[in-house]
Amino acid sequence: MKFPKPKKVIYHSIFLQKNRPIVEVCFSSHTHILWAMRRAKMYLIAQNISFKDLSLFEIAVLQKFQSQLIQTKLFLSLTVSEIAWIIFQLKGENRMEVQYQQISPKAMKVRNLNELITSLISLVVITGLYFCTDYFNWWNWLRYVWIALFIITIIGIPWTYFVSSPIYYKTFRYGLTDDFLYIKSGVWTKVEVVVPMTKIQSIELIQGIIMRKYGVRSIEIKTMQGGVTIPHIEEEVAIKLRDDISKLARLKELDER
Amino acid sequence: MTFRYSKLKLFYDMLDLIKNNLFILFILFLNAGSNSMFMNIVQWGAIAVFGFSFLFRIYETLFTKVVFAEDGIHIHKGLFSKSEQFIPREKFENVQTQANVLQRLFGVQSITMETGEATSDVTLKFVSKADCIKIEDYVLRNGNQEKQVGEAIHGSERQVLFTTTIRDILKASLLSFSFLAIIPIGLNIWSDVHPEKYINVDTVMSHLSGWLLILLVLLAVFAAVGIGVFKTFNSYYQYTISMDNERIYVQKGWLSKQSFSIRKDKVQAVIYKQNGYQKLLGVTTIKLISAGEILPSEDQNLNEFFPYLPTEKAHELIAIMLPEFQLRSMTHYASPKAKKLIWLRPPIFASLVAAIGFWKPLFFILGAIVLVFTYINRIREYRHTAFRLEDTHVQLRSGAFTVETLVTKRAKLLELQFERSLLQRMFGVMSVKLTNRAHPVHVTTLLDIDSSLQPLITSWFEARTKDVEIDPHSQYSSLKQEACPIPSYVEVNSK
Repeated sequence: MKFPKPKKVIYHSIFLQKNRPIVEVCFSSHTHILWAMRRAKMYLIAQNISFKDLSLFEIAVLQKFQSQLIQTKLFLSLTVSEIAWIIFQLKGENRMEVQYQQISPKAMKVRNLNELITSLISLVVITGLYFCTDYFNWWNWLRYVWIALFIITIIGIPWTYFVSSPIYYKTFRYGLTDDFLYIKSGVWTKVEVVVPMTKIQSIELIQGIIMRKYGVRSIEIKTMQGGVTIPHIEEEVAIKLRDDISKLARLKELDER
Repeated sequence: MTFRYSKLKLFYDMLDLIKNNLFILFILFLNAGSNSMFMNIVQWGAIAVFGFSFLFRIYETLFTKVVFAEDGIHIHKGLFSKSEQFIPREKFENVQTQANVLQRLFGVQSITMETGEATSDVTLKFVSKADCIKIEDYVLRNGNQEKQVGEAIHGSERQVLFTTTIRDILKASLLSFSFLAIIPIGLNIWSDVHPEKYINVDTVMSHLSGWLLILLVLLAVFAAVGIGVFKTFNSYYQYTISMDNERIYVQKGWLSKQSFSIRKDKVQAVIYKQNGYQKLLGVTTIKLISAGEILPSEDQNLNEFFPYLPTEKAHELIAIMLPEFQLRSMTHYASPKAKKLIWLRPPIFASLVAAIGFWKPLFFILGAIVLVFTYINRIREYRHTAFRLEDTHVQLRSGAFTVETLVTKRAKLLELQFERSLLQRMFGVMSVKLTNRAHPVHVTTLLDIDSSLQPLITSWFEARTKDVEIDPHSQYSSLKQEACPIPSYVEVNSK
């Protein structure tokens, strides 16, 4: 049997939910699916993978295709290795769903207090500089600079209380599986990091004076590249997390002990 | 195997010290007769420093012992305060040797065994060639293949894949414009000597006849070409890439020699590098990434191959040496959504340059040039950004004027990072950063990849657990028993 090679094969996204594979695949026509299947079959024969997996693949794709639930956005040509990857996903061995966790709500308080103290100190310094400008006859325009800085610092205090601290608390997420550490952070530029457990080199627990008052700790995780920090989490959680990570990170890969 | 420095090294140390401090010694020699207090102090100080450094070298030469044991290298140092350092064998990433002219007179080399960490690198400065080969063999031998060593070495002869011929060198010296090197050298000499002070240039010119002038110009051209060819000759003469079953060797140099060798499975990544000029010539530079530090070299680092290697030849070399790092066609490109972003991103640097224009109007023009350059840069970067994910490998292409294609194994990647700025989120794109182990780490950034590819890339990266082999010794259960066995005389209370 011969199928025409499609110009574009479309698929949207593939993910697993509690070991149940959901594949959102949409091909431009039925023949194209058959074409892709045939390529996949050829690949499987070459790789000595049993046909059981393939039937699973077929069902998943066809079901989705018939119900036509998917809105496709992305145009990509599906290569053999990608089909193999889909099958790999369908085997269900792969992905543990990451359970993201938030940092302690006390983080807001710690951050506010930190900000308040630094603001007060800088207010004192700015006032001092203002009177210095008067006393030593510095440039006149410097006064306006000090006044502007004073106002900005004053506005900064409620800004941290009501805007930036809550956002900071809401945006930071961390997750842990047996093999990887996941971190999501950032307000303007959102950053997501995936670090393999085996690449973690050392873990540190950190607690400053204000953090001690509220009973929270930060964890600094160092890797070859630098490291990531999980700030302000509850003391017991932090210690448990440290123990978990150190247990998992103890495993080392064979080629780099 | 135990290694000690030969006593000849004392003589070499003396010569080396004199060579390194030639300038200071020269000044001292010039002022030998003067009786001023200051010069006396300087002279005695210099003699003291010289003597102490020589004594230190003697101490190092006589009391250094290196034992190459089964498990790793033990370095014993010192007589009064002794120290012993141990470096496990698996830690070594690559071996590099260097021989300057002085060392070549003695028929020795300095050998450096690089690990991932700077503190545990081992350098031996006076090693005979036979010992060098033994040490290299020891370091690069795979620990698991201990028993078959004898057979393996005899079984796989070293195979030379590439050597520079005289033609290659002449071509390289022409293409690299190395004959222009005479201009800075000449200017340097001119500014040092200032011949225009002694000779009136105009009168000399008026006395020169036409033929003499032509002869002089021809002489200058010959000198320029000669210097250029010599420079290229010095760095690329007998440039050899060779390999056997498990290792890759790169050797180069004429007056001073250098070599670099690495085990194939220790190669972290291969980079195919091509700048605009190289693309025009149809040549490619290949770079092998190693986790160990690469010793700095005059013109080109040792892990980078001959820069005038024709592209086809370069691909052929990789196909023979490291077939798994071969280049294939790309499958994913920068998202078309990012086309608008090329124009929307604020050109910060260009506007800063233009802002200086309020004080110096010349900078307005400079700012305009920078602006045009920025946009050309962005368009090229957008066109070049591409990647390909495979079952165990990944291919990443990036760069604006110098296009870099990195091919690496999934297991060798250290970290995966997605970044989405405010502007990128508005257009549904993201930056992807993949980190490789090198010294320091090598980060590849793919700009403006479609956001919907994030789950695909993440789960591709997560599947790395299938590729890596976990060291059984680091397993928690085995570690617990071996690390702290409970002595028999301790009574364990169990409630």
